[in-house]
Amino acid sequence: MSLTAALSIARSGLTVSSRAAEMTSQNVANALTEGYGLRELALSSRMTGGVAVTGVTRFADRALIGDRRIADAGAAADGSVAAFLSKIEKSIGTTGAGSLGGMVSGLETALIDAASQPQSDARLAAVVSAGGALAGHVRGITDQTQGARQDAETGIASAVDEINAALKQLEDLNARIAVDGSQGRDVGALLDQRQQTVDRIAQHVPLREIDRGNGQIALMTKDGAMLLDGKAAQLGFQKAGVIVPGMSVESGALSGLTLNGQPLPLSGAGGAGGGNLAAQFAIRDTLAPEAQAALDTFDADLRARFAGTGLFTGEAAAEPWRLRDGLDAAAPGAGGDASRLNGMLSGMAGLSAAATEVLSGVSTKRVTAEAAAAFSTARADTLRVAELQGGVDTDTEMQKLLMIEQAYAANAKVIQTVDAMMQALLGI
Amino acid sequence: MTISLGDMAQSFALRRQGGALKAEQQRLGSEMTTGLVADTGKHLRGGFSGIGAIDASLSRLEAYRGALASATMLAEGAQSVLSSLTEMSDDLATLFSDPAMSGTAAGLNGAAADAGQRFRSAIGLLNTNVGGQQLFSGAATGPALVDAETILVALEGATAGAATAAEFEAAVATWFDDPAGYATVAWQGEGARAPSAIGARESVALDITAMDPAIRDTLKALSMGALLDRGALDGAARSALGERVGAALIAGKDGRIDLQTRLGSAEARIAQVQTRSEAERTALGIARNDMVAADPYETAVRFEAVSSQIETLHAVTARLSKLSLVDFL
Repeated sequence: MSLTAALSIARSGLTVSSRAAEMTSQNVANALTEGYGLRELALSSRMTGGVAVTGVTRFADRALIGDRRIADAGAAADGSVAAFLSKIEKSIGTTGAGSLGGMVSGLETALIDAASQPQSDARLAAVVSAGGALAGHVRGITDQTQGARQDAETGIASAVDEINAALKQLEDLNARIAVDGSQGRDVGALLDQRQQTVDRIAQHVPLREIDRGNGQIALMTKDGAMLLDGKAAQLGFQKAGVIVPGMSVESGALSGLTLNGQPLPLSGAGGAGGGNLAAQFAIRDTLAPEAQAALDTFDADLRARFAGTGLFTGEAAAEPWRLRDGLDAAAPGAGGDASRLNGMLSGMAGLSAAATEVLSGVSTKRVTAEAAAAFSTARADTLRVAELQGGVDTDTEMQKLLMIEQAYAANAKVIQTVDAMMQALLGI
Repeated sequence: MTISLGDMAQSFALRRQGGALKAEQQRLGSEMTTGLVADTGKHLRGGFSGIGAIDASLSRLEAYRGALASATMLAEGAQSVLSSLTEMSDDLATLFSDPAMSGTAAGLNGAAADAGQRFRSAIGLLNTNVGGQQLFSGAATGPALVDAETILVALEGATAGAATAAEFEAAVATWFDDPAGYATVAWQGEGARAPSAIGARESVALDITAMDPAIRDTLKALSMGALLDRGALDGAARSALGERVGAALIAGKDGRIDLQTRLGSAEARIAQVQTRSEAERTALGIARNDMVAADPYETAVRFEAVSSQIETLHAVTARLSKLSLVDFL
């Protein structure tokens, strides 16, 4: 009887070795899969002798992953804000002829040239075109700013869609994990998929994952709004068509965020703050309107300084000599009168400082935001490296494979030896 | 205790380090080649007011360079016209005051013919156009004065009743001072030229026109000589008028010198502003450079350091990828 038992024990060893080899190959194959949790066989000795697989352990450091998710959300948010401010700074232009300050200087230069030879129609036309270029540049910055708001709006809408879809998927995955787990099936792949799905939401909203037991998880924003607890919550957002300056949440033209129909604040307790979603809202509702307001102040200042000259109101575009002779003149005057042009020039005093002010306002914020983004990215990277360190190490897997090979050979040797013993027994 | 180290941790860390080093190398490379910091906003911590003001001043100074050149051209042109006028008036004064010349009819006729020539060239000089701008027309862009023939014909009409040199001179003087005379018939300009801005807070008035009393007095004297050439008055009255032409030319000398002095001081001011602007440009250029220039020594040293860091990283990456247990089994 004990020879048969030895055979059966050796066979269980072979089975476990095969399973272990399978596990190793699974790990090696997924060495580069994001969100793959390293698997290991859980073994125990059988009551009847031999070895048995009691389950598959999936290694995932939940605390580390939770920290990494919050850091990822912060890094994505800081990155979006920095990218927005950098875009606006670029559209204003820092130095050179293409910048706002450069355009103001260009207009001043054209006026100085025209004032030194007021009879020259070409120089007056140059003033008109420099004025047009400046006004066009201001319009361009407005377009960029509103374009950024539009992009933020689109970003919010697609993020909300993605979060809703992911929450539904998680609800489904939770249910399948509960069923498969209770039936003793391997739920590793489902767990991998669930972790990846949570990661997708986590870049938009910083999350806390709460273990509800039985393999179930609930999701809550960092500030305490429940997104998934058995049932998936529904985020709501109405995308506006085209955003123009002056549209805001207060005026009712833009939508805020709702959770199951209730307004969801973007900061403070019970809110969805801290992630890329909140950053997009901040761009749409605070940062871009602030930049626009500074630009509007500059534009109003510019137009007030040139009021009554026709430079920004179209009269001078058709008849450049009106810059020299005034809007009331019936016909072009003698041509040597530079007093109006000199008046415009002295009226421009301080305008380039105002242009620089617009730039400095954005640039200061951009530099601060980039420093914050660099810091939060470094933090997120550190946590990511720590998380990845717990991933598949092919060297370790190869070592395991060596041991599996040896164990398999040893178990086979046992069978061979038992066989020889049986043969010897039969040969008596 | 860590018993294994995920493959992806290593490759992620290496990728990140490689990316960061390459970005740094690119930034340092562009700083080395342009000599300017790559990210002005970051370098100035977002404060553009200093460099913005410098850029505005520099472009303003650049623009006023053109205005200065144009003002210099106008002032120099006017000065050379005035000195020609003075010179020809002095020559004629000598001629008419010389008894040997004005004493005889032939001598007087010769001097008168010369005066006729000079009057015409004086009108031409006053109508000089420099770089598209009239020198003595004030705010107008056309010639300052009508042609010499029209003026002389008008003067002949005005002096038709004069029998003596004194009456003749009085009639000519009246015509030149009469708003319906010189100011209407001869003068085609308009007002005075607006002061030319030659700096942010500097302007220079180049406002001498053909209506200026000194120029009018000179033309008055020259025109009397020219009218002699056209056969004004007879006998003794002619030689008396000749003497009066000489006297008037000498009397007008102070006025002409005053005018040249006025213009000279304007020229001096322009030159002064020009020198100051150039000095300011240089100083602002240096200040701007101090603000945005990348220190070439520091940049080069750091570029070298980053390059060797990248080489090390590549070596490490190559070594690490060879160190796989798979290769030894």
